[in-house]
Amino acid sequence: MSESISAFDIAASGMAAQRTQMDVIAANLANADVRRSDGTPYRPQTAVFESTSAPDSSASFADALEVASGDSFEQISFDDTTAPAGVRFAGLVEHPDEPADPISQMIALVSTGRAYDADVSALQAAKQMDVEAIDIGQG
Amino acid sequence: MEPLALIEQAMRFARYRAAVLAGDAANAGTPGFVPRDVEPAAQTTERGLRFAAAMREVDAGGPTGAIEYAMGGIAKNSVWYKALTEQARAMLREFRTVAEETRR
Repeated sequence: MSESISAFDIAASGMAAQRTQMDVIAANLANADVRRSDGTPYRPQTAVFESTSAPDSSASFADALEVASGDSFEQISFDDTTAPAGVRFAGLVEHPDEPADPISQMIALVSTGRAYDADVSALQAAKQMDVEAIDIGQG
Repeated sequence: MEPLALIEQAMRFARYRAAVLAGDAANAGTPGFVPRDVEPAAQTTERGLRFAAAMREVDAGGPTGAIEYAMGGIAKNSVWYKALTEQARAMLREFRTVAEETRR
């Protein structure tokens, strides 16, 4: 089984991504009424993210079974095309025609906070699974 | 396949599914990302059972729906994993009881 990327790593990458988004939103709010040195208004930004794996979503049941063939027949087997995906920062997008609207920025902040909470829940679930596995030996 | 080995395989699958669902939650806001889920796939062969994970895309209805789908799946998967660990513990307890009775 592919253990190269775990639920811990993925949830952590999601938390880091949401924190980056929060930093960008905070900068947008802080600079809402700011004019730059050339007299133009501050341009609000949005952080864009990309998946850290490019899964082959066309992998079918039969493909998955094919992967499990051979000597590894007793194990659940996966190849790289079915690897779980983390997330990473891809870049910033400027919105030159839109002023930094505090209301929309606050809505984005709340939404980002909810996404961060979801990543924390995924992390806690993974941790609890490990704790339960350890407890098997406790009798 | 031994029942205990079967439970171990199911636990490995549950861990893998947890990672896939964590990826769905982490990528909820990633442009172009389609949430995914996995189902266990088993096939009887001449050498016994073999297992794999069948990946499928999920129509969760946007970033918010993806998070909700992932949270629901993670909760269900966690309960299933707990049931598996309880079953494994019960089986190991039986083995110990048999071993202790043999020593008497």
